Amino acid sequence: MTNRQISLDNIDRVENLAFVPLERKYLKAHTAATALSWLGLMLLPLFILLADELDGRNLIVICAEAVLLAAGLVNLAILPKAYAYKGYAVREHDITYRSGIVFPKTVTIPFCKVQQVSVRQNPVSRMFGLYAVDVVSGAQMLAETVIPGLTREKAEEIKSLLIERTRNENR
Amino acid sequence: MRTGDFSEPRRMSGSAYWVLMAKGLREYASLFVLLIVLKFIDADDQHTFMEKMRVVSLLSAGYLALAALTAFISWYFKKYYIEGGKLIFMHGLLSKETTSIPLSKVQSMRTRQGFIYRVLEMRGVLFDTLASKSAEIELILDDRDWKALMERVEMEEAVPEAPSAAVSASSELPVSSELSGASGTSRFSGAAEGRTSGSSLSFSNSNLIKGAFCQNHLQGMAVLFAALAAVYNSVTTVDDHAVDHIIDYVDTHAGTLSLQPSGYVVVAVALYFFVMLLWIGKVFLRYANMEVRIARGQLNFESGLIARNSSRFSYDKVCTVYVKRNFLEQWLHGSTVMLRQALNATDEKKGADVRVYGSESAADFLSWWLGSSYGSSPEIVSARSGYGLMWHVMRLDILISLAAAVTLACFGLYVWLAVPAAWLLISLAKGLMAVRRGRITLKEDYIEIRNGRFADIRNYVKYSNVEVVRLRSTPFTPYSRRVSLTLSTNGTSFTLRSLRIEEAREIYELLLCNCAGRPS
Repeated sequence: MTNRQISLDNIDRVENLAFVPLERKYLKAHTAATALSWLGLMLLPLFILLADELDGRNLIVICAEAVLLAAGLVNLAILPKAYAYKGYAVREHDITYRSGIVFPKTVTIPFCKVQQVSVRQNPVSRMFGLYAVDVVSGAQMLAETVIPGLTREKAEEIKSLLIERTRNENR
Repeated sequence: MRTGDFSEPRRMSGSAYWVLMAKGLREYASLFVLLIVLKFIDADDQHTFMEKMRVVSLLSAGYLALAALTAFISWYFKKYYIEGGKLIFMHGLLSKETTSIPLSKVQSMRTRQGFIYRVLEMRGVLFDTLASKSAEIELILDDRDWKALMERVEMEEAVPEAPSAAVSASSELPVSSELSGASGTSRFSGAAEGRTSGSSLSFSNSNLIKGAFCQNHLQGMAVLFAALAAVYNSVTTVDDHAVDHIIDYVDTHAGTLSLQPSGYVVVAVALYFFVMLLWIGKVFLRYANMEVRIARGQLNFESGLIARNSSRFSYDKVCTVYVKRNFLEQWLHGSTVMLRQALNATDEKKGADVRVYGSESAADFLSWWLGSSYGSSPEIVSARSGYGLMWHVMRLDILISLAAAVTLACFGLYVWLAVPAAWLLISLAKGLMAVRRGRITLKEDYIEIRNGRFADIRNYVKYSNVEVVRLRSTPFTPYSRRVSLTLSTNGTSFTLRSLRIEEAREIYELLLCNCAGRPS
């Protein structure tokens, strides 16, 4: 059993790391995906128009659409700030991903705990030629951490790095 | 077909067929009863009584034949053997399926002995892995096969790698005064032989009842509702309108059943005692005559009054040891200990998690899991939760109390405003207690997380069990300098709220350093 003293002065602390920003195109992709989501939500109140017996349905629909439009615009307005905060950093023994605006959060996964790494795309990110790396651990909560907004080369590079480091750490 | 070393494919023993037959009979019983009842209550049926009895006889024969056939298929087309460190299980009539489980990946091995099993001297053996939420395979074995299988599994397991801590814990398990002394909270036996082959702990049933009594008795409501749901299902299976008949009956006789206010209090008290008895009864049935054997880094846990259930797992499969002491338990010198494994490792619906109610045995389990010197492990750093935790605990209660107060005020029921006020006061006490208890302490060998509100809950986690760490800020962080720290193991997750940002960051780094340095 080892019992070495750990000095935090000699390590690069997470708060001092230089986080690698996501691809610029990710902001456009995220904006498109968010706009599509809000448009989808704005379609739902239109079903109220089918309720013939409901008095004042036009007013209800207009109010609902206005609220959704305002919320959507606020969401779109804060996306650049969210994009600027997002980033990842790799240290000797772990990978860290930072995200969030209202509740900024930093998640770190030690390499020795990584169970699976995969690269994936969704229809919107495919349109922009972007990929996401999915890092899965055995944790009960936070089992999956997704690093989005990467080019294919970058995603493959991170995947290879994670697999190699995980293998070395578990050896 | 029977070979003692499990090296060739083999079926379960003949007695297993009768257990499967009993299971089949139980499975088709409701369908059989339904068909019989329908036959008798069918008003359009013009058959005589004797003709009806003949139909019932035919249905009974069909019922028995169906159960016998499914049991035979289940028994005949299931074979198992061990090869190359894997338990291989072949089953299926039309589509053959082969399941192969590396024995090193078996999270826990459980047995169950229900009434039928005990009559036939058999036991159902279940292998849990992380791959499935329920048990992968159930083998029904007699005692001879069970012992042979255990020997084979132990031979195949990679036990030599068991860390020295476990070995020393099992061989030097302390005999604490509480265990061996006059308090009789639990009885320690085999101390002498424990140095070579292991130790065992047995727990008295009176302590179990005491432990169950110390819990929240309203948990008995779940037992009551489950029983009522079963009755409701049975009644509606027989007659869709049965519930309507009962409601009509109650409606008709509601006037004669009306009670004085004191009567309602008596009914409520009686109901409470009934629910408490249900809860204690449930715990007693499940955990009576409990025995725990600790040997060579393995823990065997067996309990149950009528149906005996056991669970056997390696010490490194435990991800958290949970120790709870509420004020009643503190007063009666007891505690609740839970050994928590990976969440999908056990079929929780069947209550497979290891719980020990009412005895002061936490030190023994912690010695086994963390090593006998766990108590003297030096503290590295600790952090306490701030008053942000209080608001988090109270947030729902505040909303409910406000909504209730507004509603009561709207209806002019000002006297009743005392109820949400009292609720809020209780919530405030809950929040303050949560703040008082909320703390994380990093020790040299393990992490201690204290939480709980009215009860003192301590969770012990090894660094090697930490899978992911997260630090989360809130919109108030720039002013309060407080953040939340989450650490997740493969079976539990803990969020420490309102920690000082500097302390939280230091703990975050230390957790990662220790966790990366000690791979599981």
